[in-house]
Amino acid sequence: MNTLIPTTGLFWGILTCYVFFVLGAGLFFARNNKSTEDFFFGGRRFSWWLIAMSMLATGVGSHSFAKYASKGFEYGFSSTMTYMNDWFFMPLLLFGWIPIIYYMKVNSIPEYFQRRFNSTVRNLSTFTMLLYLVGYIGIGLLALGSLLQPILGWEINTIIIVVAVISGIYVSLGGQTAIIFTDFLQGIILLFAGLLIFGLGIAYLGGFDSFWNNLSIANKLPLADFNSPPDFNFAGIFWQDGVVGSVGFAFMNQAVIMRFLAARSVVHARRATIMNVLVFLPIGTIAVSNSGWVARAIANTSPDVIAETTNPNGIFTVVAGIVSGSEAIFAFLVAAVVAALMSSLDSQINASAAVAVNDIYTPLSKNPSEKTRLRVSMFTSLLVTFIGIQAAFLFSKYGTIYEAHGAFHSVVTPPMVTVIFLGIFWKRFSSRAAVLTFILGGIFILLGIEYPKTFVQPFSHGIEFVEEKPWSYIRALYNVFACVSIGIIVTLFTKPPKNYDKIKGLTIWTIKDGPQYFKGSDVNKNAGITIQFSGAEVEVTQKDNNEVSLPKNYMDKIKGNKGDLIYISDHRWYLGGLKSTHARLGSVSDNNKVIISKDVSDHAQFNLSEDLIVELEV
Amino acid sequence: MDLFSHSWLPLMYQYGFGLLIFGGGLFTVFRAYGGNQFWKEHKIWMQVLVWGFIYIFSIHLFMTLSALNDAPKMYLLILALYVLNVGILVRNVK
Repeated sequence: MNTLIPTTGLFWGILTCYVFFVLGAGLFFARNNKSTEDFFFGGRRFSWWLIAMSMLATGVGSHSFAKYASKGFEYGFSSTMTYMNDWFFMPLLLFGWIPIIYYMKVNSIPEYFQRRFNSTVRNLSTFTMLLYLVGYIGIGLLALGSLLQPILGWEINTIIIVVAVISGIYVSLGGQTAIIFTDFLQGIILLFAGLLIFGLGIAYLGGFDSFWNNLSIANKLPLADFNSPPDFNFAGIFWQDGVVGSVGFAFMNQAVIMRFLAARSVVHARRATIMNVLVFLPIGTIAVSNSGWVARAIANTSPDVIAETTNPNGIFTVVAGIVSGSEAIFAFLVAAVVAALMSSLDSQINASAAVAVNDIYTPLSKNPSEKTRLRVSMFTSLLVTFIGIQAAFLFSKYGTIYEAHGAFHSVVTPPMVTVIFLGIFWKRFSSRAAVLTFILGGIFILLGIEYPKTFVQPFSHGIEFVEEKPWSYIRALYNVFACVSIGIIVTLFTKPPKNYDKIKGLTIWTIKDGPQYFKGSDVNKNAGITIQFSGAEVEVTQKDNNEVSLPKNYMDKIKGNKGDLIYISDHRWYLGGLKSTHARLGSVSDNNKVIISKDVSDHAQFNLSEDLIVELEV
Repeated sequence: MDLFSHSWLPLMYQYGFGLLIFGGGLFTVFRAYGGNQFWKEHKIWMQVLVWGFIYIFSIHLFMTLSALNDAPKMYLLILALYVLNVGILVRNVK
């Protein structure tokens, strides 16, 4: 075993503390899990800022530190382009997809397909979704293995197994609440560490001017060359990442969807998304890429320090070792990369378990109890982790991580993305067309792999053909074109339904029915102000009915009616909704107290020495 | 050294197709939510969406100009834009 970067007890001490912190968080939040809704969606109660940071941490996996730093090293600032091309689909995401899944209480994409189409489409999408998620887990594990190998000197497969076991255990225990809170902290840590290495790198180079002057003009351009080289070109990456990847991540990635569903309302989910893309991602892209830029500047001036032949996949740790100057800082930087992996790996494991339980176990079993489902969820998290390890071993045979991830994305996601998209935005898009988009789309994708010169070349934008990996990225455009064409043609040859009652709330054209479905009755459009009251005014009853009864003066202020949905929360904003829950308004209380059922009280875990707030929902 | 295919061409391609996708999405949402009614209820969200497009485009534009003209100070402009963006979002998106 060759350890390239020497380490001592201090390094291992810091890393071990970090791992125990994460495992501790899992155990601490395990007490919040009373149902699968808690385990998978954290009780749908968190504030936008927690969701936004946790979305960032989910997106910025350790594969990002490996992928984008490696491209930063090879090509410069254009490594940022994949983080900065997500805005084009925002109108459809914020006002189409988010309200649909939230108001219609869609727990997984396959479940959406069952309701929008039929069980065949659900089964096909379950298979694709699990493939996508397990692939994501595999890429993350492989990336962390590549980054840690120069430090640990272990076999990459050993690192993959150790990290997977730790992550699997803590996700199996803690569920979504543990993920959201640890992701929040890990998000801050990884942003800070990413910017710290940039500062240290610039100081190492002798200042910003020196950094800037040691990069070529091509290194400083924000987008890659239009169609060359084959392993990193703009046109291919625009279609593979900007279009298919963006839609895949925001519309089809179960982990991201579970973030939307963990928000306390649709508005909070929208705010989280906007803040993530416009505020956090621009910093995130600098954090994950800059070690590559620093390495490029060092390599241009001092090839004896960083040689051109250095493995780009492990460039982050190489640069961290050179510029950190102290072992404690180096250990912190490495812990941040581990944090990045954990924060995306945990989400993907939890998401895979959600799909497996919701779309395979529950339909096959006969009315399993909530306790059984919860136990199966935990077991499935471990199983998915094991399969993810196998995927990592498979990906390790595919050259660079960036290419492996890109090729995987461009092949697996197009049929699913097409069916989601046409399903949401075209009422007429039929079940038969959805099934054929999956099946024929899959066949055309395979034909494109087998005969690239016949099928993919017309879309190649002049990108050079490489025998071993033909058109890794731009094939996404061909794949999408094939799937969309099949979907449209089959739908046009299918008789349209007489009415669209079955898909109320499930397309953007029928979304107006969503809030009513969510509430279960007519929406109260006269919502009043949010009220705040002392915990001393609360009386907890032994009832098990998810109701809260307010005194008449509070009812008047909130302008609520019996049966309205309310959100009741601890008044301290910085808890981010941890001590909160959703409930229904009961009758006016007759003793001037706020009467809360035991069910509501247990779920929200209120501290009654603090004030509480109540507001109407929908 | 001809950098057109590395600078302006990808920028035009990205924001040309981007505008089609973004504009098409905005139009679809506007129609689906009932036009003027949507504007009344969600005016601020529409403004934020358009702002987001301009903001991301501006970052890419300034980065390109900065690289081609060897003008690192343009990054101060990007930083100012970022701060303005945070201010706009924190103040208006509620």
